[in-house]
Amino acid sequence: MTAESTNLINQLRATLGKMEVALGAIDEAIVWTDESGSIQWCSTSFDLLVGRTHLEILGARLFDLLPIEHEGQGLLPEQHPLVRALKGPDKAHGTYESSRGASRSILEITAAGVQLSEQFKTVVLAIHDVTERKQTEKEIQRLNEQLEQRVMERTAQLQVTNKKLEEEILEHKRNKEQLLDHQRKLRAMTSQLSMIEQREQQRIAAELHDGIAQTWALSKIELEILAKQLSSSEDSALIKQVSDRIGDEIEELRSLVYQLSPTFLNKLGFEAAMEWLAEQTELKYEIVCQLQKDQKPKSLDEDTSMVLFQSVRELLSNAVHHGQASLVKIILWGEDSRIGIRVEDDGVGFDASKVVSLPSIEGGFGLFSIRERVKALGGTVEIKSAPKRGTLVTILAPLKSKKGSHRNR
Amino acid sequence: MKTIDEMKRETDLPVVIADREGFITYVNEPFQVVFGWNSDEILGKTLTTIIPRGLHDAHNLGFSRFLLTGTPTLLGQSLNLKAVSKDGKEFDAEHYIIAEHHEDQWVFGAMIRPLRGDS
Repeated sequence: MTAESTNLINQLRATLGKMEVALGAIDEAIVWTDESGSIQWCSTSFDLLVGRTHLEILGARLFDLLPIEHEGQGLLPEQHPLVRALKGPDKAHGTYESSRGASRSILEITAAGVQLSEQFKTVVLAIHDVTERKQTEKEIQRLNEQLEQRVMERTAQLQVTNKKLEEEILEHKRNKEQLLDHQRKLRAMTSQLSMIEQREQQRIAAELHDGIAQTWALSKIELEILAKQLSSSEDSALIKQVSDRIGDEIEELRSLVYQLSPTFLNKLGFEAAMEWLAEQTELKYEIVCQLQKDQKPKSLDEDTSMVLFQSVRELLSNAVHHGQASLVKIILWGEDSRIGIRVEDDGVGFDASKVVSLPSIEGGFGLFSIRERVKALGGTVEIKSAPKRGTLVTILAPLKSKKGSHRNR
Repeated sequence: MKTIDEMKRETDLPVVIADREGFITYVNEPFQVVFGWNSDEILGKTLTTIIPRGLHDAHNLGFSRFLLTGTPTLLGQSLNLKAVSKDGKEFDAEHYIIAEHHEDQWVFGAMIRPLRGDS
């Protein structure tokens, strides 16, 4: 052998050695088989992959050394990447599973046929262990699904809560409507009750005035005639005494009639009724009660005068009993189709912002009743008061009540 | 651990010695009996002569790598490998392979014990 041949052999040996070292350095397992699948050579990574020594591997059949499956199913011979690559012309590529002992690996395998001569074909396979990557992907997918599941559950929960809230809102609305309805009915009933009471009082008052009072007046006149005809001054004095007592009773009866029925008084006119009321208040409570009025006409219908008279009387009573007032003013004025009434006192007053809008137990209907009844006429009530500052109540009402036409049928 | 010299004195088991290029430089009597080669015929041939064809590439690559790196992967231990005799018959045999430095050159020696149930 020449020195040059030896040199060439050494060079080729060095090249082959470098290639083997280089191929052994990459993570991907490289294995080279002949047509029967018998392993001709493999990289160190392949030794590690199958867990055998290099010499155990060499000459062994790849099918036996590294049995693979695809999606849990065994492979038919023609499905094996090695066989597919041998048949060519394309590379075979796929993801497979391989079990070794208890551990299961996921492998990406690329197989390429290498035609060495016309008859001799080999296969090179590059095998990449992607178990870890696939597991990570699977874990990510699992977490994603879990997250989606939780989002769905939370959304469903929120929808349920939302529905409940909507139902509650609806229920609340219904309750509110019901309450408003009850309030409306209560107002109507209050108003109606008041009217019935007034009418009944009016009926009684009429009876007293037209019946008993007339009879007594007639009796009084007859007694006076009789007294003139009597000669005995003793007798006539006695009869005069009886006649005077009847006169007192007639006055008393009239007073009772006025108290029972302001509308009856209305026959004299609402303003006259107010005058009488002021006088009565001064007499009854021993306070100053002044009445001021303008010259404008204030022809009220029956319902309106009844409600307004009742209201003023209630306010005067409040001023005396609750306000401990010593001076009360009643001011009347007319404006177009409305009448205005102001009742002001110098009493102790109260916190108007705390005045309840519903009837209180001990206070009877009071301000609530006044407000409701005036409102039913189509009017308004304004209350101004503060502790120690007196009270000022202003009522504005139409001359003809909304219900007037109905009432006068 | 045997040495090349000890291998040369072996009389019972086949022994083959090769130089750094992989050319056979010595075989003993049992080798000639088992492998069917005369000493004259086999000397100067490459080691692949007694290695089955399917393992030639792996042998060449591994042998070359050892020469390049000096790191053995299969030396000094008992290995079951296939061998091939002159008539082309392959058989399993226990190989014991060593390498020694002789005057700055690697010398390889192998003692080969054929196993029963030869193919």
